[in-house]
Amino acid sequence: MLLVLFAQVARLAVAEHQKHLANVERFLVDSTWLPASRGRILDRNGQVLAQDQTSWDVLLQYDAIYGSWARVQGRKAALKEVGRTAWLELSPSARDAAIDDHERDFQDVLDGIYAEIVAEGHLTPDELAARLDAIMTRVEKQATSYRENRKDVMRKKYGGDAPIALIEKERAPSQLDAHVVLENVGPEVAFKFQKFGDAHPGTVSVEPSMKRVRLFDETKVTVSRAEFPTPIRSSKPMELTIDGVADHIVGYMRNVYAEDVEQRPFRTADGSEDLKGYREGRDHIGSRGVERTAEPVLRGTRGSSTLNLKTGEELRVDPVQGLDIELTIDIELQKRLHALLMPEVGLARLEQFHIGWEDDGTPKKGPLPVGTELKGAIVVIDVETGGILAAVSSPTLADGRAMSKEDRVREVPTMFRPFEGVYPPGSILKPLVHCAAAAEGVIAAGDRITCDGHFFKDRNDILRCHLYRPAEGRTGTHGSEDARGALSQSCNIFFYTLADRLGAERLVSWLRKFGLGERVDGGLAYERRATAAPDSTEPPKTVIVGEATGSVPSDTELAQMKAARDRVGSVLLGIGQGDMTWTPLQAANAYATLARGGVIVPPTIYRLMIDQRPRVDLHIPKWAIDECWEGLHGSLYDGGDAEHHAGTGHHLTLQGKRKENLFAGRFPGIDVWGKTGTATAPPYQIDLDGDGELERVQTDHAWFAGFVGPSGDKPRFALAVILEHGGSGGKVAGPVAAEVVRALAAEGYLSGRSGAEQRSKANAGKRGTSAR
Amino acid sequence: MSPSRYTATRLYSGTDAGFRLKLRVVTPAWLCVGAALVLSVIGILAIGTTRPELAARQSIFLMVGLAASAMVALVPPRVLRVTCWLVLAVAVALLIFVLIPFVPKSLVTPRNGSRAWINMGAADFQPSELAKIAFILCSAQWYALQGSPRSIAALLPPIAIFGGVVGLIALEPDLGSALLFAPTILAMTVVAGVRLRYVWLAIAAGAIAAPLAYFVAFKPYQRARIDAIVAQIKGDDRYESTIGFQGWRAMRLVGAGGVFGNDKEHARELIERNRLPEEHNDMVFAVVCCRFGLAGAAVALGCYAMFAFGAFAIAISSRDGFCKLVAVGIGALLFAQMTVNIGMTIGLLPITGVTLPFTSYGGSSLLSCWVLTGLLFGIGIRPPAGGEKDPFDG
Repeated sequence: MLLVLFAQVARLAVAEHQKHLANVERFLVDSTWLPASRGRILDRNGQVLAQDQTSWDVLLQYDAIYGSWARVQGRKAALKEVGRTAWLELSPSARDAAIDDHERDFQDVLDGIYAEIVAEGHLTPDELAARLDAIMTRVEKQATSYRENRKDVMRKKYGGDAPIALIEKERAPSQLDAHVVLENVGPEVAFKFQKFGDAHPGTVSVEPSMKRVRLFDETKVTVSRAEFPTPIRSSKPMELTIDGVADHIVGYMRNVYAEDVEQRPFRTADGSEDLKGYREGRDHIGSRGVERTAEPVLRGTRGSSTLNLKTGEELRVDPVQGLDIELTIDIELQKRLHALLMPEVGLARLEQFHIGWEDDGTPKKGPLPVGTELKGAIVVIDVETGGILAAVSSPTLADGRAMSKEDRVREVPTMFRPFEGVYPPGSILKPLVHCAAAAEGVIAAGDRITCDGHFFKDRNDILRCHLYRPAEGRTGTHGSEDARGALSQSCNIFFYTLADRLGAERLVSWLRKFGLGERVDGGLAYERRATAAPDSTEPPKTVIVGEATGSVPSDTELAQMKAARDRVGSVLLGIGQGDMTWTPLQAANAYATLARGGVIVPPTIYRLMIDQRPRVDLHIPKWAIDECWEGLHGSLYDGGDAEHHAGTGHHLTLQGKRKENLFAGRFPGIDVWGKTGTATAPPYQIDLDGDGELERVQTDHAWFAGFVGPSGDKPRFALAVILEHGGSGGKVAGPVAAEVVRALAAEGYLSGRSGAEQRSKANAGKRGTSAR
Repeated sequence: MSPSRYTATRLYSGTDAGFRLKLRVVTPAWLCVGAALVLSVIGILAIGTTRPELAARQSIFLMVGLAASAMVALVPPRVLRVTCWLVLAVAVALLIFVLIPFVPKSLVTPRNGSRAWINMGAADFQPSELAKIAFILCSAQWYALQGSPRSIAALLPPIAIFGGVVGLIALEPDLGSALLFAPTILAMTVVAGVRLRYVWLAIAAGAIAAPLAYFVAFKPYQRARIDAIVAQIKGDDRYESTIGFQGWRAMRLVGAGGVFGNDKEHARELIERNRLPEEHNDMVFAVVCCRFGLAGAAVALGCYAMFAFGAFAIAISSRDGFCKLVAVGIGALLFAQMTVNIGMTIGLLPITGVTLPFTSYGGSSLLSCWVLTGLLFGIGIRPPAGGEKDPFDG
């Protein structure tokens, strides 16, 4: 017997000594990680869009939330009294009775803490109860999945006889953790709860917290309606609070998932620690927007402090703070433009003037009723640098949080429309077609084409001009016209003809040169693992999200069109219809390219990226660019006369055939070039008759694209506006575009020389210090 | 030779009658005393590694134990034979007393799960320790009266005492202590000359009862402990973080001691940071190994071997049936207790609340060990009594 005992001690102390020593010595060091703060996200003028904020959180231990703390303490006290082994021998009812005796005292303590939380948090007891319920639901769910994972691990390690039943009783980390019940309390309140926690360990605790705050999540904006179209004009400015200004751009933080850890684990495969790595369930990572794409820069590197508990020596690695990121966005402009897309302001909600009146004065009926709220996007690009000044998407992520699930599916608030929304270009593509035709030599300077209302001489039922609708009694034509006239009046026949002369292949190759079908890489695209089909055995693929490519016909499709002699399909491309889509960002980029005389400067949202990528000259003949400019100017400024039609963006026709100019005569000292587009949209699903069923309605997207600058100077800013399913580009997108120009002017971008630069510097002095 | 030769009269008028103290100086009893002293000192050093204040108290307990031991050694076996029944009666009364539910908490404080202690002011007293002593004395006395217990009937009284005392202790509950009575009574019965077939029968019954107990009588938590120790012996660490925690920590700390142990400060850090429960008490052997290594363990095990050897040597040299059986009982009891305790510390046996004789912290545990040593010493130091022949050699 003695030999057996001695042999076992010898085995442990000699053969397995190192193993056991290493195991027990693990407990001799205490490692703590020193948090690194995340860099700030700033706008072009140094205004802070997102930053870490230190405050105090009040946390309750899960047992104190679950209510079991009093029971557990009561049990502990009872157990101490009765003794462990005797305890196990007691009947359940005898145990309960013993616990009940002690539980009451502890419950009183807990009630006192609850009352204090209610008082300090300005809550009602019901609100606290709801908060605690929410935590419990979340924690119990996590605990269940934690235990399932543990069981899987156990099964993998030990096979069939793994001690699964023991895991069922195991408590998940979240059940042992403390959870935040009050956020952002001041130091006095924090101190008070700290004292509570010290007196009753395992109840309440206080932690300093680093919170990511977006400073424009809730913003007040004043909108001047003095220059709005008459029906919605008001001398009284509108005050409104908007949620989630630029929230798609800034992005947000989320908890780290397993796949993020896989990308860069904190605990590396060889067992060492990567201080910049991620820990599941404990770290946060940027999710979408700049928080995501600039994650490696914004995220700091945590430090570490390893304390040898025996010697008291500390090995310290200081944390490296994350770097600030400066954007090209001007948050003040972004706010103004955002307000324009708020339905209550009136521009993004269908009014009768958006639809029009019949000749006899009765209101026309559109596909969508008056009052329909419109979703949309606005992009403004600095022509000189390619910097994106503003990119507005409506609805915002914040709006989406307030939506019902069905609405969220239909309205897709998560889509950042300027970058991710893809729409058929419609007529705003026409200047690009003219440039392509000119560069390929299929049209010469000043060449004229005759519009008879329809493209094929022998057919008047397809490929018609927008004036020519025999069924509706309209048989207007543009007659003989040059590029300038065709652009300002958006003649279809002129561009059908150019597309026909070019052929689909040459046209598409030119559209690709303008950036269609390819990401412009504005700075918000990132890779994400694609959700694989549940039964798929293939390794997970990554997809790029955050910016869409849009589409132009592929080489295969072009070959098929050619083989099928699909002349209609290829001619349709000339007016931006057919198998082709682009994003508002690509549209604005194309117009910025026109404004530069055919030179592409890749647009970006990052100040650092400006001038980092090559400028590409498309070598478009100067005369073609000039004709485009004239056409785009004419579409807004050419009021027409008895012989000539007015430009498509020239005016609104109000009730009683009263005309109201959009641009001409309304922007002294400013010149605007622009093109409206009314692009056939995919059917819109909406419940028109209120019967709960969705109807499919045929609608058009309303586009406006153009550029703007001070009179006598170069164009400074390119812009694109879209209102989904809004109808006529001129009537719906036009008034919004006019207000965009007004906002640029109001922010000082259209005055003096090189306004953007001057203003930027002025503001850096004005705001820079206060923002920091 | 008929058993009737060993009548009560004859036994009570042994050669040591009249308190003539004619002592043997060279006796194996010194081995026991020496081993017990070394073990007590090792215990105090081990306890002092993590609990200096308890080590000081343990030193005082040791003094009290030595004094009690000396006093017990002075009592002639003749007196013990008479008084043993009284001691048993007192022990049983106290065992029943601690079980009475309405005894005030100030007197019987349930501790660590058991109603096993009576509060005596300066130190607590554990009636089961007294019961161990009474049990050994009474069984020895009964067998001595019977001569060789050839009949089943002769076995019944010790079995009844065994059953009663064990039952009462098990009710406290202190199953670990209760189980120690089994090897003790077995050893004494064998030496008393019971037919070996009964012994084999008892062992066979035990062998059948064990798996039966596992599958039928054991509660799930008890079964889980058995599963855990089986896994631990196999080196399978699946229970290390749950029910096997204490066993694994103890075993790893034993391993961490290496051959020569760790300095005091390092050992203390290791033990405290590993949060070994009951390190000064049931788990003291882990501390001994962590602090003094395999060398310290060898010394301790050697001491236990020496103690057991001494006890059996005393038994062999004794010519008196009672004394012989008392010596065997004491040796068997303490050796079994040591085996169970060390076995659980080094990951061979499941954890039970059994202390390590002489080494574990605790007043009544140490006192009872030293009282037993005193009994052994008292027997060993007196010259062999009775006839020339071994009383049970018959």
